Amino acid sequence: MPHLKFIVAGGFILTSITYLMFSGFSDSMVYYHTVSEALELAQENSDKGIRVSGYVSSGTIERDQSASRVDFLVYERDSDQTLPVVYQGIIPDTFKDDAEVVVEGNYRPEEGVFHANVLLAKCPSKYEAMGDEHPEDMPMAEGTD
Amino acid sequence: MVDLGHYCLIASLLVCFYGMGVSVWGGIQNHLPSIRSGENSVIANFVFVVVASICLWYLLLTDQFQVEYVAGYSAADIPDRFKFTAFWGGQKGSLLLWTLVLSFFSFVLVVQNRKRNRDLMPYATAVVLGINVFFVLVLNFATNPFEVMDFIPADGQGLNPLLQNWYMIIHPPTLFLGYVGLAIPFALAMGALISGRLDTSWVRSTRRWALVAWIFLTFGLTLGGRWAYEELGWGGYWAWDPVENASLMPWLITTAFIHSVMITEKKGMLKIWNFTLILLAFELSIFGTFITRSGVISSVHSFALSNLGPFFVVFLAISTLFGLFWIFYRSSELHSEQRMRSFLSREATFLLNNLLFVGICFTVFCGTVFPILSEWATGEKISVSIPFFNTANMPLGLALLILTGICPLIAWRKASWKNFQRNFVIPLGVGLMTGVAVLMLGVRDIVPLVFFCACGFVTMTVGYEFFKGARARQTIRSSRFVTALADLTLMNKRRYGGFIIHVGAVVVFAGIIGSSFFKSEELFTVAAGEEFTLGDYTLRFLDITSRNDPEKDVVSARLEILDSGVSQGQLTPEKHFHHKSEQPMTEVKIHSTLMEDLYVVLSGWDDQQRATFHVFINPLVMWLWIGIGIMCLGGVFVLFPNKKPGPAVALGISEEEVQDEAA
Repeated sequence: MPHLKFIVAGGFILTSITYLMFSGFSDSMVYYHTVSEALELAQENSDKGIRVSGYVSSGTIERDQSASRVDFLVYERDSDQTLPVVYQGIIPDTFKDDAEVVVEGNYRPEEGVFHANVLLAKCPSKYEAMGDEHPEDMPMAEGTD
Repeated sequence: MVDLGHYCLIASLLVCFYGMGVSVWGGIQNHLPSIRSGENSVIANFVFVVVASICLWYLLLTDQFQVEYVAGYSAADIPDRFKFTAFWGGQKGSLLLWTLVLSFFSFVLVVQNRKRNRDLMPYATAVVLGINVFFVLVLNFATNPFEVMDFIPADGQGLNPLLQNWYMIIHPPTLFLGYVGLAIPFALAMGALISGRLDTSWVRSTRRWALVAWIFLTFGLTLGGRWAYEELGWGGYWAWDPVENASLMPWLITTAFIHSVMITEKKGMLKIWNFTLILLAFELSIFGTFITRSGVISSVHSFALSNLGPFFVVFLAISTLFGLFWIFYRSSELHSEQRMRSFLSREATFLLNNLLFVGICFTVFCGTVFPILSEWATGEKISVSIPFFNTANMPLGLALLILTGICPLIAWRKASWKNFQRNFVIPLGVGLMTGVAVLMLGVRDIVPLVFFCACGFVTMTVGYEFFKGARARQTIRSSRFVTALADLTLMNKRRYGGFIIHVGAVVVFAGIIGSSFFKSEELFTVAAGEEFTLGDYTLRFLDITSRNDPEKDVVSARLEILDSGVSQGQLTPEKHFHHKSEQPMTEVKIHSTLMEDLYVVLSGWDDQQRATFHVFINPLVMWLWIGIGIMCLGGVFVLFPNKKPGPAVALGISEEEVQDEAA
């Protein structure tokens, strides 16, 4: 049965690929949440990485230029809850008031602040208000610390 | 012009439907006039799509802002070259570009096969027209670029400044040439399956198309990486972003196909597998276009919001089922002509190579669509981050690299251990020596050490192949070594071009390892006149100034690179504030050498001449670009026809044997 050994070898390779994937998954799973979900989760105090999406509240951006640090509030549409975020690292060019952002990191209940280590931003577009398609088909500008 | 564009798109849709119908009918009835008529519809369709594209270009260049697309992506005061490229600045135009390239390739396919592959052409024509139908349908009914608004804005929104650069002029068309290039092998493969002409004739035509697509994909991927590296300012070139993954996946499968197709051609094995790979490569190119254009994954918008989603999902489903059906239908006629004998055979290494490429593609695919899958399965959107891709793919990449070296050392069918050992000693020695050299340079991590050893090993096996071949030729023909080497390479472009590509891949691997394991970065806040040091570089911050250009305000910092007190030139990282977009643009400055890139970002400043710089040292990034350059050149080299193997025939070696050598 000359085929058998190839099947066994193939099976071995598939198993290793699956194993590699699973070991990778457990290291790097990140949960997506809305602002209100993130605030709810904060009560449970988990140190799992989460990814929160929302919009930057106008006028809440406080930049510490010299340290490349930025503090801001994230809100979501149809809710008045906001999430305070602090991020240090490269601030993407698209980051500004009302920009759609995704932050990845941990919420620290003792400070009441979300510490982000990834900040993605997509700039708001003028035509979006007209209920039209999003003219920005760009990949999001990215910053990682 | 708006109306003309509209009409052309409608005409194109009609002619595609007509052509599909007559091609299929002509194929079944073997009725030549119908078949020709189908092929002529491909040509007519090309003309319509070209005219439609010219209309859009005309509208863009003449600032017709009543057209929504023009208003959205162009403006009166941007340079003409960017008005021209605004064509693919957004979704609608990009899809028109896709269609333009597709109709062009279909046209080339038809012209090229006026006399060849006659049995399968009617069906191949029908399939390319079917793909055209899909894109033209989308253009007509979902994303019509000629839509007019009910008011005329004074000016357009302008093109995103991130897109106003050289890379974005050529990156999207290049990538599309690659994506769309995969539609033609798909059509030929389907033509072969439907017509039942399952000998290797389709393989020969398909191979070149796949290679052309592969070259464009490789080049397009690289341009995307360079764009990210130079324009986005986060210090890297690859972030496993869904959009990047989308273009990597078809590349991986095409690479697998280019390898496995040799087995089909030479040994008549792996036929079903090859059809499956072609199908997969095509589906992934459509899937790639879909996720790039609809933002299903990267975007926080949900899936349903994109009006493109349903179109693409339906098309993906139909074309996949169609392909699978025909593969299944013909599966009894697709059995292997030979059996695989041994692990220690070149066939087995090719098979392993394929499994690895497909395996890498599979992990990338899972990582990319994980948010969608998890949302369907658990209701929670979960993504995987960069470490997932790195941990999963690093061992696979290493295996692939080592295999690149092992493959040419193993004979077809069954190699003897003795011959295997004899061939291995020298390359293995060189690999270990590379390791020792790198160790002495101060590398202590095990992973990069192993990778560098593998790089040395592969380089040596490839070098040895050239050497061995040239020597053999030299002894027979008693010419000079260099002449023999050149003749050898030119006479067997496929084999030696392939080796050139492998050398490029080794250089790329070295570049990736260097830049991922040895990079350093630091944030410096300094006042004018102060110096700071990272790695071997000392930088003196001279001053920061601002100026007003017609379309933007620029803040510019000057840094002097010092080497033991002596100036090595200046860097001026900047921030640009385009008047149109309010959004600042980071202008990174890079001091590039063969060994490393010094990468400086101006990240902040105050009015007391203090500024913050984010400085990166990225080793061996240059190798990455050089390696990919070598790979593309190797690919182009393979495309050229072989020099006539006259001398070989004179020596009593038949052409077939020469071909057989071409692994």
